Amino acid sequence: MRKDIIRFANVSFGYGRKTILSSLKFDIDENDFIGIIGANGSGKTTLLKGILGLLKPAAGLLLKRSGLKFGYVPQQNAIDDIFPLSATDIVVMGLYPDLPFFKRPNCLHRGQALKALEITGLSDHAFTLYRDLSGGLKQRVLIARAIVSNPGVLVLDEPTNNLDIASEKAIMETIKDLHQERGIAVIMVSHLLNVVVNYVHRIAFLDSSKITVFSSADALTQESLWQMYHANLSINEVKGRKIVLAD
Amino acid sequence: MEEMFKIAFMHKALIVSTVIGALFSYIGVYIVLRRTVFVGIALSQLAACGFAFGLLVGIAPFIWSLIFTLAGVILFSLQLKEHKITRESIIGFTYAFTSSLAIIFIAKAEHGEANILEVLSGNIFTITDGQLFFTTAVFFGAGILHALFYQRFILLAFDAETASAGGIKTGIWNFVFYLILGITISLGIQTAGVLLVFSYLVIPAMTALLIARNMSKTFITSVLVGVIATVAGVYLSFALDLPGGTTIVTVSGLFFMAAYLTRAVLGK
Repeated sequence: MRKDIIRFANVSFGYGRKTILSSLKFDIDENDFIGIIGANGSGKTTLLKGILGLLKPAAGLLLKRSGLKFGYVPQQNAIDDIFPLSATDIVVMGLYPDLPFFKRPNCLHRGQALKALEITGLSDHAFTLYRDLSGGLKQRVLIARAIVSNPGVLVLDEPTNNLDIASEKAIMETIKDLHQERGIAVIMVSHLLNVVVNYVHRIAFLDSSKITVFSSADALTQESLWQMYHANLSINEVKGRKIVLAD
Repeated sequence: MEEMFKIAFMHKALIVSTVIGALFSYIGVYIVLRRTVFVGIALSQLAACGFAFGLLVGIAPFIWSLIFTLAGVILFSLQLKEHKITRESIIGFTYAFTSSLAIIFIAKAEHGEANILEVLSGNIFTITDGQLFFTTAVFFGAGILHALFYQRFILLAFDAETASAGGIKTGIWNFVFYLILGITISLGIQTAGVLLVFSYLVIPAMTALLIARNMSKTFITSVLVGVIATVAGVYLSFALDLPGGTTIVTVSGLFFMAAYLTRAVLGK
């Protein structure tokens, strides 16, 4: 049975007088793995900010289950690697919001961080400086930071941007495992259709300030892709994986 | 060196510049990491402009210096909605505008020139007992607050958006950070001067970031560089009859260059 954890009831988002998204009506349930797609400027990041509470609805009601905790993975280029912080230092930071402001993390917190790094396959790099890691490993650190406080929802903003194909697959498999094995709901913004169609269960497409939710990635057809992107796109299957091609 | 410590005003100069140097070298790590070094110079200049205004109207220059700096704190900690003007350009504007305003205030103030020269270049050797006590107390207080708020300040500096998503009131913490900075700057420039305060906020932290490989060591190294440069600078200014503030800045600049060259030679 579906249990909603986030409900959008005619929600609109915008900046100042400018409305970016209007009258959104959809739910996110506790087992969701939803991909948010859309052209540049369609409001993907705005929706993400709204979900995270960084942007208040301009209208409507956004309901969240009481005590719902988010684990956020921002775009990697939003993180400045000038900081002399190790992977563990960064993951521990994921626990800071739960600690009183004056409390320093102790060995128990570091232990939790090491566990999160183990889950994301980074045990060997726990004490490596973040800036010395490859793009794929940096992304794993950010995922570890997001899951260290045991969130109910993992929110990812373009998690595979600028990654090579092997790292892209590794990151997506990690996210899939977190969803399947730990029951974390996943909300993922990505402009990479090939990533989205192979992993998510539902797709939310943003266009002209509106949202269209597809109940499964299989619901995407050449016709729906034409309506979305106004381009001839086809979905093919090779070795069990879907590939979106521009004809 | 022994001779230097026999003179009372040298004691005071050493104590006050070490206290100011230690705290600004510590805060400077955040300033450099947040890539907001020009906030430091803009706030220092705002403080100087407020001081100049106080001289012009003949009422409490320190209070005016504090008011001007706090106005800057509010301006810089606001999330500006105007997308056509960058935060960086507002900082540049503030610096240029308040620099010229300060000169205008001084030009019209009675005996302004003599006072403002001290604010711009500082004179740690003329500090009074009252100033020494007050400055030391405020800077110790600020140091304690920084120690208490470390966890929030580092989170804010590293990734404010994620901190906000985690429920941290980043706007409030950002304001607290700049408030502590503003109060200490408006006090610090009266003894150390704009140039020395700005250099404390930048050079020791840059040096530390070249050397240290974790956050704790970065803060410790930065404070050590600031304090050692201060003691060495005060001694050299005494021994060679040089201005105090600029000698400290030169010594800490030399420390940075030595660290940079050492790294370049060792290839690390």
